[in-house]
Amino acid sequence: MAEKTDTPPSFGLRDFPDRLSPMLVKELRQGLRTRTFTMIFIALQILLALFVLLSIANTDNSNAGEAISLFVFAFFTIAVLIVQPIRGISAVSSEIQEKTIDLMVLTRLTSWRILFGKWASLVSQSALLFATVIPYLVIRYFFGGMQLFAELSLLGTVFILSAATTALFVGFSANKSIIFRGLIFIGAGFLGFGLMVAVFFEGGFDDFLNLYGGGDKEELFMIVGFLLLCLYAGYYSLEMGASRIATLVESTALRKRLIGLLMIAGTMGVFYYLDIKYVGMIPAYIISMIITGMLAIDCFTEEAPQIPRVTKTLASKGIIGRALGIIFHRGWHTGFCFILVLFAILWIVLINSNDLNSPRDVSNFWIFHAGGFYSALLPLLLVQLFQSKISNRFIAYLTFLVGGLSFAGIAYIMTSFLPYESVVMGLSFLPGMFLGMIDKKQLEDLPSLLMTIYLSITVIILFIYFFKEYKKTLSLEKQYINDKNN
Amino acid sequence: MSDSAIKVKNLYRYFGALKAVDGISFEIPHGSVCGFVGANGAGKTTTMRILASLDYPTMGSVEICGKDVTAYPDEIRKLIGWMPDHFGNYDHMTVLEYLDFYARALGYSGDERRSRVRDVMEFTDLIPLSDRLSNKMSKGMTQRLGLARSLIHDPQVMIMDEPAAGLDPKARVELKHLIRVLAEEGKTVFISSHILSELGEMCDSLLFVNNGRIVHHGDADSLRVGSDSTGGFLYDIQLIGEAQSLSDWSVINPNVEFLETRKRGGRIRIDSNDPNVAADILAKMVRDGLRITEFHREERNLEDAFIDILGKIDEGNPSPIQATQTETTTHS
Repeated sequence: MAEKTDTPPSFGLRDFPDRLSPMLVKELRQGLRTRTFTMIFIALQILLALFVLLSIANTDNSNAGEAISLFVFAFFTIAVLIVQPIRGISAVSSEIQEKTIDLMVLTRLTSWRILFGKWASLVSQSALLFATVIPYLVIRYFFGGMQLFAELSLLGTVFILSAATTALFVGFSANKSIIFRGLIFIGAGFLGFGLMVAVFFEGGFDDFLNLYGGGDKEELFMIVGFLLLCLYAGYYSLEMGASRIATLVESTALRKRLIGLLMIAGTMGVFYYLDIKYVGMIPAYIISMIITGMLAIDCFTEEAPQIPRVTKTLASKGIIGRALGIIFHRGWHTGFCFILVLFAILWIVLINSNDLNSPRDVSNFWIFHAGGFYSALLPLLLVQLFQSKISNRFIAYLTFLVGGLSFAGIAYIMTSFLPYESVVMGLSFLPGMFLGMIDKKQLEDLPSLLMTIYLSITVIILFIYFFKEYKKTLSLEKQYINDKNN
Repeated sequence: MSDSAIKVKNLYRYFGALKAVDGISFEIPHGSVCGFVGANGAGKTTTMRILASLDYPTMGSVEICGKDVTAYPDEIRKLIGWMPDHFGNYDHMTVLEYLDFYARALGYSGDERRSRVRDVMEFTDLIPLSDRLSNKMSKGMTQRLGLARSLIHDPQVMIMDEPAAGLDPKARVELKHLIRVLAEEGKTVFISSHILSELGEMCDSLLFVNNGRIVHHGDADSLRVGSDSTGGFLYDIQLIGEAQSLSDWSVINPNVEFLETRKRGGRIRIDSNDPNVAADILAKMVRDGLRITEFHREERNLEDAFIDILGKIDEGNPSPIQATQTETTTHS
């Protein structure tokens, strides 16, 4: 490039090593200079130092050590579980608004690397805050009465929850809709506030410490399982965010769906082999249904492939790859098939688990199973019916889903004033209404039959849309193979 | 290597019922600068985004240096430099850090990364601004930064959407100079702008687009010397004596139309584009006793040419390019 000047040969940046992700480097350069982070950092240090000094001055107080712990945890939790995740709420939307996302996708950065880099930067900053509270816990150790392992475990738990919550905010920030992001913010705010009150003002802090210090194996197992599920939810949020900004070239459906499948298989496997007393496979089934529900939102809102290159991964694997494409290609249509496969797998596992002891149990779980899938599929059907008027599948799907669930909620409240059977049966087509139909002996087999009918009709209509869309995908596959051979 | 740097064939892009791009075809040779002109909503940005692999066509094909954009988007991204009409800069990030990020994102590391960043900063004269925060710069500097970013990977084809919009005259001159230098280095530049006079100065060819269709493709000079909306060619004539004598003379010469009186002469219109006809008319004027001091053909400005072309379309006379497009579409 023309016109050389006298720029020194050492010109250039060496502040971060090359092996770090470019996104992480960019976000750290920006993030560490933001006023929010600097203020949190300084405020945390000043407050903790002041509190520790006051506690040292007041050594007569036998509860000083515990008070320091509580204070450190309270401020650390506010910083990493509330403030840091909130910083991620416009992480991607600002890039979309400023059109810098276009500039990024033209580089080698994939949508996943963009989201992951943004998340990793915020988590790194939280880790920096985590590191700075350790010295105060060391000082607190000298006051005595500290449950070292329990307190560190609790601190680690807060950090893991922070990482998962940050992922949730960063993932959802890929949506342009400010209303949607606002609702997520309000929802998470209520949840966080409730958690804080429960832990720090309702004696939950001591309960948690006791749990980590001397809880039984099963309780600890449940906590570890919960944290793993939170981490998966975080990963899933990032993947879902990545799907929102993915270019036409990208397809991460195979990876996302396989990881989801592995999570379900892992959950089933762990519960089966640990054979925890009294609980059987039901919790594994419930967790799997939650994972399936999350997967369904992503699967049903993905755009179908538009260019041949997207089919590359599976189309190049011969006949087996092409067959697997029915459930693993990018798009809502293959997502629909994938979710149907999960529907079948989960039901087979459930009815073979020896947990359903009577025909009544089978009927109730069928209502739950079929009703759950129907509730996820009906909004998809509505999206397909109105697709020509819909510009954002994701928002449309969630609107139909949440709208349906809200109507069901109102309908359920109405049962207090109106005859139960007439309300529930009359509005049983609403998503979520099935929950009010479980174990109602007065309704006999009708709910089970209704759910079967609703689900069947929805699936049949969706299959018509599926075949229409999959025909296009097959022609893209063919085109890709022809291009490759030529 | 393919003959054309950019080859667009029967390109369509629909957004629901809206036909943003309606069957356009054109080719741009390597190393040339092509201006892309059209009103707002004419389909310029959509076409450019498809060329940059940021959008996909509803129908038709686009090739950059012989590679199909939809079949090989990854390869295309190595070949093109994309400069959008507007892009935000990052908070808390200096010019050097901004370019360093994009160099990393493009896969460069170590000395090569630093060297590429240094080269583009030298080219765009940004070295003195290395430590300036990228969001605290003027529009002109921001455009230079954008150009530097799009050049990091040394692309063969530059796609620039309204790069001169909002720039002051000095920044425009600088940008124009940089674009000319890029063309001299052999890069193909495809550039859209509303400022036609500037495009005329720096472009080898111009593409006019209207309602998603190409209405003209040719060099700027042919547009400047082209006929007016009635098909005539205008001449400015100065003479010693009364301007009325020129008006009187034109009355008795049927192939010359006197249009207006000017300070030392007048303006006439000649039907023919043939220089021999103009020479004959000049010779006859002199023979008939008019004391001509100046006789030259007026160049139209490009805005007039553009309006003329649009005027012809509104009157229902498709431009030759449009007629060809319709024919091609019918055959295909």
